[in-house]
Amino acid sequence: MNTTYIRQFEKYYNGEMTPEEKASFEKFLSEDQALSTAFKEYLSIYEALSDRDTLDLRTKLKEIREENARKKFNNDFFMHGYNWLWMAALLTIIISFTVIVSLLITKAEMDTQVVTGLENIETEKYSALNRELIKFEQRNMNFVLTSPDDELFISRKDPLVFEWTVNSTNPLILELIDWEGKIIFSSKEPVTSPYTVKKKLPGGITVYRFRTDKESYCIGFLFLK
Amino acid sequence: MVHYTQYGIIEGMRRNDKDVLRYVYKQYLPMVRYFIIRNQGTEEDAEDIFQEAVIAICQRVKRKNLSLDCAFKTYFYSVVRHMWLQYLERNKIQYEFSDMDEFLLLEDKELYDDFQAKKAIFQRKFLDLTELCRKVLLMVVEGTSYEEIALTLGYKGKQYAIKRKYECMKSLINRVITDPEYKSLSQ
Repeated sequence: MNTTYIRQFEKYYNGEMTPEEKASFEKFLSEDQALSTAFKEYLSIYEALSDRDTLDLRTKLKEIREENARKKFNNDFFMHGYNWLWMAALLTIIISFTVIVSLLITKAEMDTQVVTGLENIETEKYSALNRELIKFEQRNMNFVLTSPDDELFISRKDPLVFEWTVNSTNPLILELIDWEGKIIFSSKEPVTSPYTVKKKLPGGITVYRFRTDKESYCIGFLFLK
Repeated sequence: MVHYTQYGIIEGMRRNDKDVLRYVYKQYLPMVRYFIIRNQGTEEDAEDIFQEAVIAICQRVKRKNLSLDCAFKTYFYSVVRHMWLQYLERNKIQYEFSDMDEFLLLEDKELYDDFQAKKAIFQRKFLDLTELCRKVLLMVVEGTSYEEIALTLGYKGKQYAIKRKYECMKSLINRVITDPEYKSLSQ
């Protein structure tokens, strides 16, 4: 049997041929042995399909075969020690990969946050401090700070004492400014040397400023620890 | 698992009882597999021959009363052996049988002759088609009109139903003619 004549066979089987076509086809069938054999085979397909009982039996057997193939596959897989090892290895790789990727993503996010944070904080704080410091124009009035000397780190346990000499009689106010430009201490009243800051101050970099109403006389910084 | 007597198996086969078929599969497939693989076959051949043996026995049981003078297992083995012998001869495969059990010499030529073998191929290939194709072809075989087929399966009309049936039939024939067993049967 081949597929060459299927359309003709179908037309004949479906009763779609005209009487002339049908007669011609039947004539060919009686004369052509190959065509006749192919047509018999074609009809035997319908015959095979009309045996519903055997088809039903085959369907059931096919289902049982598939059921067993599935069971066999599951058994083979789970009974085979190596498959467990492969599964364990695969799971380990997947979990490790997930953890590493998560860590990398978290680290990258944190780095971004830190950089952004630092940029924002430093810029903002520095700008605020800068704005506060340049409020008063600084004048050279031969202001000499004698205490605290050149020491940068000052213990917060010790009293913070400022001593100075200045070639001016203008009243000076002492202010302490934190890193964010916020005035954390102001003498409010004019101060005279030596002057002790009695307020408890926070740790960290602190800027001090001696000023009049209009101008700064001295600006410096120290680190309270 | 339920154990069936010889009578229970035969009666179950008469009714195409799926539980009995499952039981037969479990009980006798290992024996068939062992035999076929020892005699130049493959696991796939064993499953196919097993299936054909079950079908042949079921048909035999339905046609006439099957009274056995031997154990069902021996009869089953004899049918399988007979079919495998026919298969090897048909495919011109040299063989030297290695039997593993006692068997009956079956005279029943109809058990698995060329006609039966071709019919088996047609039916097996039919079951491999899509569900829709199977439906169309079965409706045609049952004598359902194409108008009704179109209506039942939601096709646009009679002509489309005819076209679908043609495509399904062509697909079935293509599957049949490429089957190695069909080729050897047609030579």
